[in-house]
Amino acid sequence: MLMTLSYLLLAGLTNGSVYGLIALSLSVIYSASRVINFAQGEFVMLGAMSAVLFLVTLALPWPVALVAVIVVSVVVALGLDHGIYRPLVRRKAEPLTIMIGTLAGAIVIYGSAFLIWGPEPRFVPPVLSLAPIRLGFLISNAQQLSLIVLFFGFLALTWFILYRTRFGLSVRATGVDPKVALLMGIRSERIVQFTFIYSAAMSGIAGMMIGPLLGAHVSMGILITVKGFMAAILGGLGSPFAAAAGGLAIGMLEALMAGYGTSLYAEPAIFVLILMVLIVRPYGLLGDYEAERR
Amino acid sequence: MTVERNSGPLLRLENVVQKFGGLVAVNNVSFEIRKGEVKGLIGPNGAGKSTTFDLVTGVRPPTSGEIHFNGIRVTRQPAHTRSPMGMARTFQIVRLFRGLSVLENVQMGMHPAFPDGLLPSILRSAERRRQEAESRKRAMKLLDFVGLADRAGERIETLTLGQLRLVDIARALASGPDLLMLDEPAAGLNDAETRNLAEMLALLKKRGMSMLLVEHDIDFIMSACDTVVVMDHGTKIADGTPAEVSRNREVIAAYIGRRAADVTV
Repeated sequence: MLMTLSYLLLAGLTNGSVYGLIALSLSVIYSASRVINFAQGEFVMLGAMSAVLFLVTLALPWPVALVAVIVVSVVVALGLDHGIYRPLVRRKAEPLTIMIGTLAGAIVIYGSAFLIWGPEPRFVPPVLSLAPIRLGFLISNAQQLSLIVLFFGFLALTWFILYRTRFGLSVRATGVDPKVALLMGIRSERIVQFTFIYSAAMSGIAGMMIGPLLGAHVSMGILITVKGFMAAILGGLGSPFAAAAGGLAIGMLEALMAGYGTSLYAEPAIFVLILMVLIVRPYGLLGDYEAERR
Repeated sequence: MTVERNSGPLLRLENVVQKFGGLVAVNNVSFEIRKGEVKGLIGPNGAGKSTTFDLVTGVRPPTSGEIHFNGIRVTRQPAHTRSPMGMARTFQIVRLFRGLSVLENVQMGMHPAFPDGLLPSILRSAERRRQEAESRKRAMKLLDFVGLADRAGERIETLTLGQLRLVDIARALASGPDLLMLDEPAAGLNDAETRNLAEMLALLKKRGMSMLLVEHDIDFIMSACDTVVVMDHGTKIADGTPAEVSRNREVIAAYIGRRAADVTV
């Protein structure tokens, strides 16, 4: 009984870590730009698919492959920034328009990946061992645990950057009032570019690590975006940490629903829950009013 | 009275014109601010003083005319390049960063002096740590100056309007400006807050700060300024000491009406 619960919670924690990383990414970009990046999940896909390329096809050692995955994510993120975000912002597009622009970006990334890799799912070789590790009565493996470590690691790093550096102060100020931040000499474009790059790198790494557990295929991105978005909305889009917590909550719920009910109802149940939460707390469970206006 | 000093003026407007479609909001306005001078800009509603202020702060470039600052032509320099040049402003509707602490808000004003590259921020070289400590120290000193040192750690939302205006001024001062431009700093303040503000501005003036003050409150501006520019219908109608200006027929006419001017004089 307790054992089942513990297993479910561990599985929930693992999936929740991935959702949490996406929610964290979405929220970091949102805090600086008031834009939801619908292409965020594509970076997880790119991470997983290019990991196959680097680890299997090119047979690179994993630290090199990791760097290569980060480079791919960053290059694509720069493309998104220069190809979609900047041109739209400079033409004074509304955040909603830019959001649709990122959706277009997601389709372009997905389409290109489809041309390169085709529709077949790929097996992503694990970077770390899949050999069972005993944690008391729980059995896990290094790959799975690394995702959880990654999630909390990035959470800590994000907190440090945002709240303990001058740069983070500029990021937060830009999110509150980009016009006044500009008058203080902070170019919001530079800040937003950083959030795109940083989030893409996080998601790419997450993709490389979740690949062996989920399997990889070129159309996995949009589902992950949707889950991450739900997580961010549930927790509170305005705060990266609330959004990340929302990811954990969704991962746990999903696992518990699948374990005790049937996974068939997991998603509708989560949607209903999110709806109910948003009716009571429109800015998310832990969200602040800051999501309200630019 | 202003002390006459060397060199050229700190700020010079030359025949500045701003048209919005057919409307001439600012019509051929020229004036100067010398170093250490506190200049007021007043006029009835719609006189064009806010538009003039926008032109000086770089919110938009004028239709024609020139603006020089410290001998440099800044007519078409965008607003965000003016803070590093030594021009700092406050806002009529206070625009501070919500969610940030009072101290952090003041630190934001120092941006040009304290570059914020990410890598150095994370790597935290000894130099960078020294800079961050210095930035906090300077921000604390400014908060101390405006009398809000004890609120440094609180979120900005917890402050009253009067206090917010003081933080706005501290933030503007944080860039170490040569010219401080204040957009209706007394608007919405109660008497005590207005007196407090006037005292602070007097102290700043004593320290040699040059200021441009746009204000509705005539008593406030007459006591705070060395010289006053009066505008009406987009045109400069007077420029002189408060005493001179308040005897000016056109000024009285603009404020009270033509007939009153005839009666009073």
